[in-house]
Amino acid sequence: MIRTILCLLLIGLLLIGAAPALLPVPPVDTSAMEPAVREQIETERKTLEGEVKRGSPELAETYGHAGRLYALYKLNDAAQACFENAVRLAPADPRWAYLLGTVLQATGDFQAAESRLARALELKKGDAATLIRLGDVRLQLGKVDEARKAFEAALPLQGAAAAAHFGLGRVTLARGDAAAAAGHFEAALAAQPGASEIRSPLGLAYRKLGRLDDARAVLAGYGDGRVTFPDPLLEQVAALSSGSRQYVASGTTALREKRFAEAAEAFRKALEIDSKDGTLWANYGVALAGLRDLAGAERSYRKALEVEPANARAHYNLGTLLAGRGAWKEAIDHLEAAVRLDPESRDALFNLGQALADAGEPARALETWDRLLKLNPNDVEARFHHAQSRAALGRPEEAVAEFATVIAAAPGEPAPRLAQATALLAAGHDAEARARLEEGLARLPSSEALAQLLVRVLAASSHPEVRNGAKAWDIAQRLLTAGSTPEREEAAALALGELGRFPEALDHQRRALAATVPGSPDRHRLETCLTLYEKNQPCRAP
Amino acid sequence: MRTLLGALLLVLGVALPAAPPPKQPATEEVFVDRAKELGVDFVHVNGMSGQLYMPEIMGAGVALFDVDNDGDLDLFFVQGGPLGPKDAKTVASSHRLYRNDLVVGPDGKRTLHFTDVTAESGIRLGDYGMGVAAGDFDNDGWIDLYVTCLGSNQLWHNDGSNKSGHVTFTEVTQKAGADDPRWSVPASFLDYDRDGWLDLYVGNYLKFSFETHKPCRTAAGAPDYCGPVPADAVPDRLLHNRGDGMFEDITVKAGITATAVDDGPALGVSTADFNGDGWIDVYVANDETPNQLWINQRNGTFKNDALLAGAGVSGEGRPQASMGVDAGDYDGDGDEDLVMDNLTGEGNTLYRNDGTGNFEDVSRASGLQTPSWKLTGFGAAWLDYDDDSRLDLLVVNGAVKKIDEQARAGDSLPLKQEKQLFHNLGNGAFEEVGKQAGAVFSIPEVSRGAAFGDLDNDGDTDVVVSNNNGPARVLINQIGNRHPWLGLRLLTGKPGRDALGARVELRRPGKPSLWRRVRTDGSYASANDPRVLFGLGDSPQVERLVVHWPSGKVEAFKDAPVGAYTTLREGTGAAVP
Repeated sequence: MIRTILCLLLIGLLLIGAAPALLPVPPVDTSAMEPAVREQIETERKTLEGEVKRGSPELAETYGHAGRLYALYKLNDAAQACFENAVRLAPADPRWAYLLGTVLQATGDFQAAESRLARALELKKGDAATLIRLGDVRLQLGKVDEARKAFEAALPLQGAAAAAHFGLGRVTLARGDAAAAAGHFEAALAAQPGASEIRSPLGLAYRKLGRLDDARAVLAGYGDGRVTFPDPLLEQVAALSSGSRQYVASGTTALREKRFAEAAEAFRKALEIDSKDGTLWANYGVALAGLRDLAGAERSYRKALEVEPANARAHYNLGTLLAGRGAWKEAIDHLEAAVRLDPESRDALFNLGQALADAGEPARALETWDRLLKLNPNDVEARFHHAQSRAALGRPEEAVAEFATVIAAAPGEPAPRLAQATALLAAGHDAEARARLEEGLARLPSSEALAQLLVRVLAASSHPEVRNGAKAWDIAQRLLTAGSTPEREEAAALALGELGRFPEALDHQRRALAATVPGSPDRHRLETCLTLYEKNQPCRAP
Repeated sequence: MRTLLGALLLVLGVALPAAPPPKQPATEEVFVDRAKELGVDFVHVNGMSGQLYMPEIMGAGVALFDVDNDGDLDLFFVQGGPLGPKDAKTVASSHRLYRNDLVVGPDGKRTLHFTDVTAESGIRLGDYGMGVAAGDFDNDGWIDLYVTCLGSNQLWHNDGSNKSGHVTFTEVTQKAGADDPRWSVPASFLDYDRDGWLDLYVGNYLKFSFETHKPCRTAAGAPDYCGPVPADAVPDRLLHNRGDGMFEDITVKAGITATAVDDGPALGVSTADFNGDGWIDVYVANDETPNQLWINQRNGTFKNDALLAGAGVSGEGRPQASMGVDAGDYDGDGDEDLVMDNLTGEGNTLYRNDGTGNFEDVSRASGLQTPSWKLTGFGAAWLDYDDDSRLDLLVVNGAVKKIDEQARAGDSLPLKQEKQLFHNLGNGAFEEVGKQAGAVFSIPEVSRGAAFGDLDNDGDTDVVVSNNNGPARVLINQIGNRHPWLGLRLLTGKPGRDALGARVELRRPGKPSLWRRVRTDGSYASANDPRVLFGLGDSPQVERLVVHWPSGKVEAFKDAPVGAYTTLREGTGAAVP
């Protein structure tokens, strides 16, 4: 009896040695898939069945190829079985162990993933992608010291520094060494500045070190840019795609990370497969706009609206693009459509308000800013534009008061101070304009725009009590030390005119004119003042 | 021969089969589903029509609250109903209210049964229901309900018992200014400004329109349910209770939506004093965007500092698709730690509070993350299911993307997953024990809402689960009260309203204090038992109870017996400086 059992056992073992037992590949329901993908998968399945039937010597390769295809389409059960079979058939090939490891990692089988990745590393020592993944999986398993070793081994390898430092940062943070962690995260961010996700753990490391200002500063730039590393085997997997979704996914990621060329390419390929998707066209347009191909972007947005007339984003993007090139009427139509479709879109309301203001429709702009401010009364930028629209509507008193609230909310911004002074001048309150400008310049001494307007007020106000030529000249001289520009020369001329130093005023005014393009709207003003200086008269045009 | 065989197999690297393990005694189930025998026959209707509308897989919640003030928890289930453009035809159902008819015999035997009292309550379905919050917003001593919807929300005022002895409700949404016509999911009653009136935080999810809807696609291009597009997130809403039956929308004034960046698709809300300053803060679990930690600035405004606090994104710096959330002191150090469940491929997240409102992601080390990696969690809460004095975690799951195997088998809603129970080992780590805790944990379902509370008043926590497009489950705890326990209901004001947000420190001789909080919020779209339940483990001695009321007052109480529920009222304890 024992002899019989032994014989059967030995036969079985010999059989296993001759041809390893293979796993059945779970069936995949292709019925609802994109036609191109369905065909690709069905062809692959038939090829695999045929190769298995004829006992092909290339069976490992066939299973590996099928596994890659299934992995590409996130059919993880089938992918796992295929890679497992490839590993059994070709145990010395690191590709299959690695790819099996990646599937197991993705599905959360971390123990098994570790074992497969470790095997892949044995077969292909010093492979950066394997080391990074092994480090990640070991960190997940709480094997902090082993994870550290993997990341350290990856550190000097081509293209792996950011991911390795990112891993080491997490390792050291887990051990409570915030200083070392901060160093690693800083190095990772330096190696991949677009990987803004690093900023979160870096900020937390700073916080632990008591560097709160640094933490806040680094977290202000936080985003979802991922840390990447070269992963040639998975790139091969991605290259197998015949469906649009892979391109959509990679395009969306590239767009998010502002890799516009890659995004455009991915969306273009997706659109070759599915040209009826308005969102795809809109995204393609965004990518093209990022590449400064504005004509292409416009075509894409229009195509998006052709296939999907109620696509709010396409309306928004097209309206914004058209506003950028001054096609106000159509821009406003599209932005209004965007707002109609998405009444709470603050971006669409903002751009609509700006387009209306730029198109010379301050009343409609004001209504739009009102709507935006109703959604968010704390929006300082919208408040600024709201005040601008009031000023444009000839309501400078209201504008002045509203600019004051903007200045209080954004004291470091020169624009609202400048706008407030301009509104005060328009209302004939030159003295107050001067006072506000002096106050602003004291707070923002490097603001040339504030300085220039102050010179103009001091030199050319129609209110004699406001004028102070000496002070104007003092400021104008300081501006000129930074070099000559038409605006600086004109300001100097105004100041010198007020001081009665007309020959010098003429010199500066001529220099301003010489540097001004013929036909420019400033030229008439400059020539008028020039004539006055020639007659030994000051110019009054603040 | 025996030696020869052994040697041969050893050489061949084959191990002999191990001797069968000694037979273990059958382990007792911790939770048993008794919905049917208890009379709870609620079936959620998601209104699915094959269009793969995202809202159809997101509902619904359930509430445990004492509707009739008879001392036991009644049940309220949120219904979905018809879903689609106005001409869509699907069978309508209703929210359902079940009265708890618990009877405790002279021998202490408890007979639990529920009676459907929806019809006489006056509660009816409005727009497509998602979640529910429970709280006495007008301080009349009767707990009211706020139902969140895809569309207009509903505020149901509890009018108390009528002449026939039935509790009735009146819808006062518009009158009270409490509506939000957007897609709301979680909501929470809280008194953020210490004025003695419950305010309302409404978590809003995404812009959704049937007109512009189109199904999303899998990597292979097959139609599937969509995930959130972060740009489509709509702002949450904070409604201030004016004390005259009216709410005022102070979202913007309070800084809750300072910039569009602050908007996230909210699916979970937990309110608690996270930074230990005595004021109630708000934590919002968002889907695929950073979570928010709104710290109460004590002047009517809030500031979101989640990223700096370490509770906005995972320790790796990634935003997660958070759904259910709860705050509780799992490590016994006296502060509120945050746990939340996430999408498949993310695992559960545990943020440990250092007592100052700064958090550390300890998900991996705690053992909560890896076992949940393959699952998508929804309802979840801290509970001490075995009354051993440590907070455990129960999570109900259900995917949001089709599961191939189930779809192949012809399942019309192939999103089913099993529930999980994590036992707190007391050393910062948890062990998943669902499989040993009852057959119900092995039943794959599309679970969404889960509400936690002691339905039979026997001193342990039971769980009610609302399954999407399926029957509800009532999980009765079989074992918790074998340890000593102490239950409290904390009331404030007159005639007495649950003091949501109050924290209780139970001091024990020679042992660290235990901390629990009065809360109904958390989990997913659901409302929990407002009472606090202390499992005392092996240390039944109680030195005293110190209550930190939401008003800022701190009082000590001594007379609360073990093995019973006791009501403590604000102002009746000894003031603690």
